[in-house]
Amino acid sequence: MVTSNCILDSAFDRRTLLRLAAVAGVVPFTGSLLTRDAAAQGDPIRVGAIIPFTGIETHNGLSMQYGLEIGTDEINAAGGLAGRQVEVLMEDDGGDVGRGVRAAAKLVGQDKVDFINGTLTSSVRTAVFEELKKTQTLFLNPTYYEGLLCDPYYFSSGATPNQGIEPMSVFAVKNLGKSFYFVASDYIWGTGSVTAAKPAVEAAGGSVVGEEYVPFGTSDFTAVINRIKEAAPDVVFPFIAGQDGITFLKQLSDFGVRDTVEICADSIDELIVPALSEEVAAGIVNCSSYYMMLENEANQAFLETMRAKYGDDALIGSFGMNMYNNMKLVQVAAKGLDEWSKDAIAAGLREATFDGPSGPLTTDSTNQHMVQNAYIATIQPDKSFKLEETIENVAPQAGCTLS
Amino acid sequence: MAATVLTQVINGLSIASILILIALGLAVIFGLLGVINLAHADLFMTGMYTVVLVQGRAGSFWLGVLAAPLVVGAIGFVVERGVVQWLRDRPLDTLLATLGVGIVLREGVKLLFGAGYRQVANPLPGNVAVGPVAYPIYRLLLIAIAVAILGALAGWLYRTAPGLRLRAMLQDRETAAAYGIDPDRASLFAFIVGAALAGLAGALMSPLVTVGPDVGIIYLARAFMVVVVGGVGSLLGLVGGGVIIGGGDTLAGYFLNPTIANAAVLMLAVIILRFRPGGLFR
Amino acid sequence: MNSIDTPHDAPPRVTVTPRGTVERVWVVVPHVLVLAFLIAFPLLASDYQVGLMTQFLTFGLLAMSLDLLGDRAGLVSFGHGAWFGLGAYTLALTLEHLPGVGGTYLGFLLAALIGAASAALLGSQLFLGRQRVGGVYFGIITLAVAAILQLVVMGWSSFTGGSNGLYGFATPELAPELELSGTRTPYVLTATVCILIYYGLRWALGSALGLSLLAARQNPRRAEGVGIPLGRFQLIVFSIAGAIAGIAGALYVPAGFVSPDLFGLTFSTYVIVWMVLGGRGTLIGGFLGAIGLSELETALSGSFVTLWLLMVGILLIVVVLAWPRGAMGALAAVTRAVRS
Repeated sequence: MVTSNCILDSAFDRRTLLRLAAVAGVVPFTGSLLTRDAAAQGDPIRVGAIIPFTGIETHNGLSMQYGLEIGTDEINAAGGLAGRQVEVLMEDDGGDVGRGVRAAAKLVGQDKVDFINGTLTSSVRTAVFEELKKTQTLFLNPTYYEGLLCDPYYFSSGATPNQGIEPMSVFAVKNLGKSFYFVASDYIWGTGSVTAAKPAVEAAGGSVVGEEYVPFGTSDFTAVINRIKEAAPDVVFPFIAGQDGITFLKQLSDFGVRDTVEICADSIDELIVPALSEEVAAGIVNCSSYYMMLENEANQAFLETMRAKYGDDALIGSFGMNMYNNMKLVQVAAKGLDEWSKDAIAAGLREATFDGPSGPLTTDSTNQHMVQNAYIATIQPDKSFKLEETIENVAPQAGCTLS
Repeated sequence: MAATVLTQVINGLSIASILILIALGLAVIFGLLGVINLAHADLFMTGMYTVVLVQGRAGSFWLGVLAAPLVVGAIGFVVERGVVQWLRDRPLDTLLATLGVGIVLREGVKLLFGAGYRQVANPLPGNVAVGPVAYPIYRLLLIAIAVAILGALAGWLYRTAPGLRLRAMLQDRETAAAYGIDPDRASLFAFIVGAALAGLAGALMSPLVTVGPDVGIIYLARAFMVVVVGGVGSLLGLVGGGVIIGGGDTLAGYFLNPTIANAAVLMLAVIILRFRPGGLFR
Repeated sequence: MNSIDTPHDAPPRVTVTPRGTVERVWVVVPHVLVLAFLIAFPLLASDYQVGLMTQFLTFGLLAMSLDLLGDRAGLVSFGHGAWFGLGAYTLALTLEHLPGVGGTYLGFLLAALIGAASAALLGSQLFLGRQRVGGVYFGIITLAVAAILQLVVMGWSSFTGGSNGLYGFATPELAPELELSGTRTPYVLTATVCILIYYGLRWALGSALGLSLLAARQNPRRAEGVGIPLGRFQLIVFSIAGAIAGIAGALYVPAGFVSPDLFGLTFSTYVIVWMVLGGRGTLIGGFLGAIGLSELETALSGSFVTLWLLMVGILLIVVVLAWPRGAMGALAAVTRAVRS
């Protein structure tokens, strides 16, 4: 507003300085960040990965990168796919549907990737699935989910509800208690999971005493926990995405309810546990298609490679392992091919089998999901996972089939 | 039945006290400068990360709580001197500039700490019996801390000379300036204190939730509501706003599903604002 | 002190009236450049680029409407993305229940109407009556309204698809054989609408109503003294801005999906950033700002986004401090220097 001349003068200098600094900073900086160029012909095979490096699933993002890169390294060391080396391009979706779709469009439209490996959050996956159908791009999913996606060019190593939720429900009813309370994030994975879990629990002889849904970013579960307390279930079965899940468990313990219930889940694995205290974690039972503690040769070798490459603190869960599995499955499908062809790879994938750190995988051609093992483990007082039960070669029921 | 009512009452108090703690810093800056500091949520978040850092290095939560207001207050100093002081009398521009500050803080934290989440260990885990109800000790402590801080603030505002000057400025900035109260220093003071309070609130909140770079955004709208619903310029207003929003949260949370409950409380705040733009307790 | 009614803070515009032919050419040149760019782009760029640009054009339109709100009503909305979301969801939901040409036109019409009506409803509560709400309070209320709308959209999953968003609705059609699919057709439609609205606004703003709005924004008290009904004007501008935002949202729908993130604070914040960095008060500033910044952000390889956002935050501060007129202001200053 009203200013004296002195201030104007100094403002002028300051402004000019700021402006010069801004221009001097922005132009070269931005230029240096615009690094990627589109593919040219005769280049490496490009795999595009859509990974949540930011957002509530960040802890899984790195692990997915590990699996992806280790798989790629192995492929390249063995001569590549159809004689061509593989190049990895990663995009962050931040768990956001809009960004995920834009990432998919960019990877396909601009970077001309040959196939997509990735997506974690179910809402992102579904939107990306629709987007990739437009160009019929090969899409491999590493994340366990509610199923319901079938397409000739879509393959999933991610477990379907009957490969995780159902065995978990059966085990829980048998060993933990009869009455169940579900808390889920209010989106397709949460609601779809509860829809699958309820009949499984009831079929096993249990009963459902409560279910509720919370929006993303819920930071205060007081009301929910109060309701759980009043319902007094034997078992709490949460399907809360990412960090919200950790907050829930933390607060459940704060309110003293953790001591009065058992917890079973399909989302509390070795990546989540470091964030939990021993009191909270001990006794939780989880079903997953992979754990780092699995004792087989392939896993030992994998963990060695991972720790050598990324440090002793590196962690990997089922998402990351399935990124690796997806790459290996493509490698199997590409065997004997002289030339990369999407349809040849798809055909190869339909018959693919691979035996790796998470156990044997075989494609079920009716829905192009994988027949695989389910592992039920209990968290010990020292936060390690102890294998309780292995259910072998569960056939996937994706809720859809390929005609 | 009595247990349920008691639980809900304590819940309401707990949530209200948390909201008041968070909104305090915002209220100070808004009251004195007429500006909503959009970086408030991120200053709050920085306070959380200070605790993460201190607890990680020195192993002490309370040391972190002590450090947070100092660290974030220092950031407030830098922001005021570097940005806000040049935008006096341009409230909308200040708003926009603080938006920029918030972005810088958030992305800066991501660069320093990574985008991943951290956990702060609860210094007082476990719960204690309040009549028929068992309630987490730490949450009860927060209620006590909120009351203590409010009491101290009230005492300072109403019993000391600088407090008197501050109240004068809150009531009428121009007249206060005419009486010799330096608006420039008052602005600096307000910002430092506001930032420090935001950092303190973040530090105190950190054991309850998961700490992440975007954690502030969730609290931003709530904090705004408390400040504007209660009315600016009086501690009573702040408390009133906290109780209304906190109480509303609890009631709605008890009867409705979480998503609708959230929307209902915001709706309530909007309606109040529409009929009493200056706040309820002005 | 407690002024709840503050004008848009940008310093007054310096308009140089063109005299000779050479002067006039200078004024026309930027228009020609932008138009040429818009026309040439789909001819030169890849399908992917065109699809992306179409989305960014809708963002530009949204930024334009926010600029209108700021420049002529002195208001900054912190929830403007919500009006975009309303428009997008309106068209998507209409197509879901009423596919085909009829659904498309009805959807667009509804998008504009609902955008305007919701703004008018809110505005009638805020701007009319004895105690007008503006400035910072308006910002907070729009923030809250956007948050409420987001929660409603997320909670009403049976109707809106909830947190998953909406997709798989019928493709919009402009005529029995003219589908708004692929990339070229939506681009042409969106670009045309942007051009029409931009010039329409410029004409309207130069009119008597437009000028009184400007006067009212620059000095509300004096304007009121002269008899200009400030509240009603704010209501009108807000409604128009709402309608345009709704149309922009509807134009986004050919992208194939809509999600509640459109109602979020992040998106609304982006719109403000585009407007401020592009240049307030110029309409075109926000438009180009939206396109330019979105292009830059998308072009960055993923891991550099944090650095980029940090830069954007710094730029925002710098622009507010030193370049209140944003990029357009800088450009104008440069051209003025060149001309003299």
